[in-house]
Amino acid sequence: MNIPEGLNDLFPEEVLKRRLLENKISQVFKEWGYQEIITPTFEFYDMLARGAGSIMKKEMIKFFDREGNIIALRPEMTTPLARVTSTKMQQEPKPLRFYYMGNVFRYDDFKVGGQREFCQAGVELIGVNSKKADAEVIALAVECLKNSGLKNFFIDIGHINFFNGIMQSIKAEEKRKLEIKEAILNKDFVLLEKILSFSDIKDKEKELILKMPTLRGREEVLEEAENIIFNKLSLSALKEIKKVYNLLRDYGLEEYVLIDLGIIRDFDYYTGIIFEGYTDYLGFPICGGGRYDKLCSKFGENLPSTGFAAGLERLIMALERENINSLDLKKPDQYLVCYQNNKDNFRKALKSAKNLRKKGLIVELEVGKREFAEVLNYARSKGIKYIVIVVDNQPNKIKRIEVTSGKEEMITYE
Amino acid sequence: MSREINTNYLVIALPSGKLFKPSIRLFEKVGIDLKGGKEINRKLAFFDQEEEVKFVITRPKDNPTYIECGVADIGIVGEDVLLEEKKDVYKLLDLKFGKCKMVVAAPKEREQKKYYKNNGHRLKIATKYPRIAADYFKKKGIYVELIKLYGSVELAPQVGLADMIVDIVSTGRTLEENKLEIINEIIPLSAQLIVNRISYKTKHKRITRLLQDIKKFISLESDKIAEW
Repeated sequence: MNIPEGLNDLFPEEVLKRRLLENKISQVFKEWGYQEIITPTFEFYDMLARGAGSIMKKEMIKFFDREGNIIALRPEMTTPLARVTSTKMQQEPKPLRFYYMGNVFRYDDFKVGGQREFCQAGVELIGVNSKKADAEVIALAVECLKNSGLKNFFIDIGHINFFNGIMQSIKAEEKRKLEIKEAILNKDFVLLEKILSFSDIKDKEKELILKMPTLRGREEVLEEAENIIFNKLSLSALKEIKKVYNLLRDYGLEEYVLIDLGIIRDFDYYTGIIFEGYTDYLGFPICGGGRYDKLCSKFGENLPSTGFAAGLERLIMALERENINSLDLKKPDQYLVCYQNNKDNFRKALKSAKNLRKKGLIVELEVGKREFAEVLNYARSKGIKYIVIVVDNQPNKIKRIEVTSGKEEMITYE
Repeated sequence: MSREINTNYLVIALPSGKLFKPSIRLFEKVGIDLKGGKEINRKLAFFDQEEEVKFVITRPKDNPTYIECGVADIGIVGEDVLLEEKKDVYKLLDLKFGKCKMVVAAPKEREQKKYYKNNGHRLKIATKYPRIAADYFKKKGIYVELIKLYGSVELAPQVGLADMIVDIVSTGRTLEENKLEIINEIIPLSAQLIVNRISYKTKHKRITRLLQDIKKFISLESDKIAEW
């Protein structure tokens, strides 16, 4: 009676938290003019693979349909959205602002917990290439985390071309460059140092590559990098970061934003500004995103875009570690209506349940033939606050019993 | 799911087992007082208030998991564990102790030992490291059957469970006792210092300082450390 590895059944308390968080986040998205879009859970592998790097292709969960086509469960939401907007919305005025909230699937076996299904909430701002668009999406990520209740977090912003520029400017064989890139992606700095020591690369550049993951801070990081970097691509990346950083200052968000030249995202489709969100409470990012100007053209439309996604499971984990009560709902009082068994009382019970529900209370009706002691036990274990008993000979009144104290009173239910 | 969060502390995960003592020695050499690890041995967590460092002890193979999740910032782990289970952590320093090597070993009496041939039937390899072994033989273009064992791998050829083994060797005594000999060295191994991907950003000043101290010590005493 098992379910496949890496999947979960969510129990009511967990679902409550999840839905609460979903509401908080989607509210912000809507306020910023983003509209929700829903795409299929699975699609042709070929379509999804257009946005996937080699690792993601391996991690996709695939199967065959009846015609023998390869189908895959979506591993992320950006590619499906790029497909929809490029193939079905050519005539729509740009920019398009979309948000999504849905489950994605991966054989993420080597990551923490090995979860294969998780929920992502995110936005895409499609059809415009501007620093203001980059800044808007980052500001929205901050707003979305703030509104979720998280207090202690940072968004780190970097640029894909900072690293690309360094790699291009290095005078080394292609094979060696690939080794360097792979070592950096694998975060293996022991190997990286070894490769660099064999390579004919300037000491300053070696030092810079080894320091990359820690080049993080406010504006001084840009100055520090400008003094060591001489290639055009990296320098223009630094300029773009500075512009976006200054725009985020205009938003008044500088306390949440850091410049981080060491960000390297897992996805291959990024072309510009990239960013990730961190908290002290998790050892991995809670959200991430960036600019992808070439993805839509793989579906036939040239639509420069930017966006981000947050992992809801991760966000819930971070929220609960920061403050265990941060996702507790104030639930309305719960009632259980019982009645002595005859048609008259049953009708009276229905009426009183209806009236209580109208007041916004949660009411369940007894459907069995349980003794009062049993009902009381049930109510206690389910956290029901009051039991209501419909009695004969009291036309407009019902007996209300507080479960914890046993206190009884007669109340009118009309 | 609550945990004590104190961002002032640097949390270091030490592996139990044979890397435990040299790890303690290393941190004492760079000025973190662990009282020779006596106290730490009995408890699973230990504080050095002055340096604001907290230590936790993990099973050697679990060590990278603690780092990947971020419940500890820094860990020490044998390279074999990292090669066998890919984890999303920074590998920052070769600590030069705990030196050993991953090898292919076969019974001494085996003929044609260099050729991986076995009278036409597929070669059976017993190992605790199926991933490392699979990668190695795939690269060599040799088709083998892997048998995953959890210990006493050297027993497998003796009882006919496997033709050869892939295992770690440090002194070579165990191989000798079991009449096995090394026929290929796969990769040299040593203890590695790993760091959580976010801690390396958020606590990078402290981590870099510690790393520099360790690096300095290693470069000065590399001969001695190799003996640890």
